Amino acid sequence: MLDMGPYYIGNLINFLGPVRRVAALATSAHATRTVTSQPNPGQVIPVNTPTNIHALLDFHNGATVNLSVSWDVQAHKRVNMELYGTEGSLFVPDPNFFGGQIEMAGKDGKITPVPAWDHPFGRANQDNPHHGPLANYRCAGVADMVDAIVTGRDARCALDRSLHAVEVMLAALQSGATGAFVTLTTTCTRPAPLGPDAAAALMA
Amino acid sequence: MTTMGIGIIGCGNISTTYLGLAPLFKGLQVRAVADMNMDAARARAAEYKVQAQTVDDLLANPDVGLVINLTIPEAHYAISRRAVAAGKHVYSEKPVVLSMADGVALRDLARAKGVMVGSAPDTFLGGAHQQVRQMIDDGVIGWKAGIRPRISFSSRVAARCWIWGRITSAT
Repeated sequence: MLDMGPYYIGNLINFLGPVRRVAALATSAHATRTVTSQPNPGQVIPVNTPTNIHALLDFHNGATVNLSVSWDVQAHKRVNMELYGTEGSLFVPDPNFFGGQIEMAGKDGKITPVPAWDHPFGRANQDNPHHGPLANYRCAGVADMVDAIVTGRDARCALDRSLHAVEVMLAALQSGATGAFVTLTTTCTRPAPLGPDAAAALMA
Repeated sequence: MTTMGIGIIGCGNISTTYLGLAPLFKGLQVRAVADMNMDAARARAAEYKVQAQTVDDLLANPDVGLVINLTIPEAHYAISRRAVAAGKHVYSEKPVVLSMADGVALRDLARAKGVMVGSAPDTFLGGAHQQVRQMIDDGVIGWKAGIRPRISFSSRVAARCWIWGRITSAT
């Protein structure tokens, strides 16, 4: 949750704004896990945190969100993020990456790819062995923050938003333990959008 | 445009991403790297032609205005706090802290010191996610920012019941 959750919750704050309250079921399928990465492959470690979490997020703007995070699934047929509105649905690519294919359906329910706009942080600049051509612009948040420091504005990756995201994740774990909704103590604003021109202005 | 001198603390795998991509952006100049393991810092510094320093020396380095904290999550708060106390701006890898008490203390200290703290992830700034943001704000799925929406949302990796049953029965 605390490892992958920030990508998803950060993007939800970008799309929908802050969260009011959280409830969750939190379990683990395994009492131990075997390390697969260096430097200690094969080491058996105890599972001390829930590895299978189904959370309900109640947003201040009225959006209702189902967030499921699990290490205990061998395969699934879910899209990373799906947004359902009254007039249509949006299918959002993996928020661990900058680019990817958006899909959308209108009232006819027919799902079609959305052509990507020309955005500097959507252009593939790496060839990844697992994912193929990839847009990777990590440091964009640092560049935006430096510009914010120099010009005296809010940084898009400011602490108020990441701290709110941490509270959402901790609230899901707490609710999983107690069975009760957890009302959050922090809030934040949506980050300002970063359109193609604003993104280009951050580049060398 | 002002150039910000950057110091990176934590020379593990992800540091190559930051060191490699920083030159794409305006106003970022990595000047020093540090790690608990000085050999790791020296190796990374040689690879990217920057200075290797101890954590203490990097935090005292007047040429470093912003610290990128790439330590392990358990060390994020302690390192970020020391950097803020030294008057540096901080950008942390995620999660920025592991407890609300730490987060509130860091926020209060940053305010008192007049420095900014930020955190990864920044992937929501990517072309795809900003395009979705624009589409939502344009109301293409029936909702505009500020209007009470009826949106429900699903995110990755839901455990399906039959998988859950299989795993529990096997153990």
